[in-house]
Amino acid sequence: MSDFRKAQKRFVSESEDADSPPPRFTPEFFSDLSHELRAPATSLQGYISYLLDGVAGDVTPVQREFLERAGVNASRLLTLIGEVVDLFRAEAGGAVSRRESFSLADEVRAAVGSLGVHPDEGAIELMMDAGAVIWADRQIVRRTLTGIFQRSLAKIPGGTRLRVHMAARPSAEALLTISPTESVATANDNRSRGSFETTLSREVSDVELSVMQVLVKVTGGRLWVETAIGGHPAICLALPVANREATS
Amino acid sequence: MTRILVVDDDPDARLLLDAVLQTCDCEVDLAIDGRDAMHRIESRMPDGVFLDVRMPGIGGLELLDTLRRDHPQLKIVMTSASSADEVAVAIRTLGAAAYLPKPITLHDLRKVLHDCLGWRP
Repeated sequence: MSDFRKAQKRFVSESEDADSPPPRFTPEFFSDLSHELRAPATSLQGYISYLLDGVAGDVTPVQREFLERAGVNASRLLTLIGEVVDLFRAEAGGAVSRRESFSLADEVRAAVGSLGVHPDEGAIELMMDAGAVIWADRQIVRRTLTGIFQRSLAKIPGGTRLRVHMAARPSAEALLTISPTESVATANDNRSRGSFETTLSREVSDVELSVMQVLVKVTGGRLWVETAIGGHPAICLALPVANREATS
Repeated sequence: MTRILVVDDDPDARLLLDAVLQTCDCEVDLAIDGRDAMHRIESRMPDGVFLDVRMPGIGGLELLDTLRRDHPQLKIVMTSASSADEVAVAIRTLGAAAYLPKPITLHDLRKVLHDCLGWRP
């Protein structure tokens, strides 16, 4: 058997039978694809991080700012790669979601920590008094949270902070609202008092969020964007709580 | 001086670890795959090995298993760009001294050198 044919058999599952289903990529293909895409992005992140640490000598303030921006974008690229590979895997009919019960608050803190942001330093405000344990794929949730925080931190207007608000809902969901301070989170508070008309849009309008939306759906949750009158858009993530799903 | 063998099929990853470990005053040897690593260990025993999980031929986990059996005193630090939890579990089960997910931060690298190999700044 030729090397090409061997590789094809390893990466593509197909039957000789003419009536069989169309060929599909194998789990090995997605594993290799993920590795091939992640390796250079990880390498890029590593070099940037060591330059910032002064391993190759002192860096000027301007160089530091440039490197920090490059680092943020390398991190975003890495998150996107994970999401896109998962999306391909889901589209190809492969198993993506392996659900387990875990604390959503812990995952939020881990995702914030992975960005090197400390909530006490002011960039992110965590409002998570509800200790919801959710039933979902931890990898997907972790990646989605990291992706949302990365893009939100990059886009928040000057002088505002990113607010992460978590609440348990009567429908047995944990709802996470991520928004700049003084935005639609306030609108949500109003809505609970009867002001439904404050929400103008619930559309997800870009590729990255669309990918996240599909993956969150795969793991039993929902993701959408709310834009209120006079407010900044808020990203809303609803995930099933453990008790309901685990016992059903 | 602490002797470290870096085993990684990715030349960028080797170059990076080589440069950073040298700034920590380590003596660094480089291997491009599992077979190369075994030859280098037989010819000159390092104090520690930084071993990538995913490599063609003899994979990192397979080499970890072999080295733990043949050289139980050798401190092996696994590295991986994979985000899968299964990788961390497999590494712990096979008895690695530590696991460093890529990208490896300077802080984590120094901590592992200190905790596993007695390195001091």
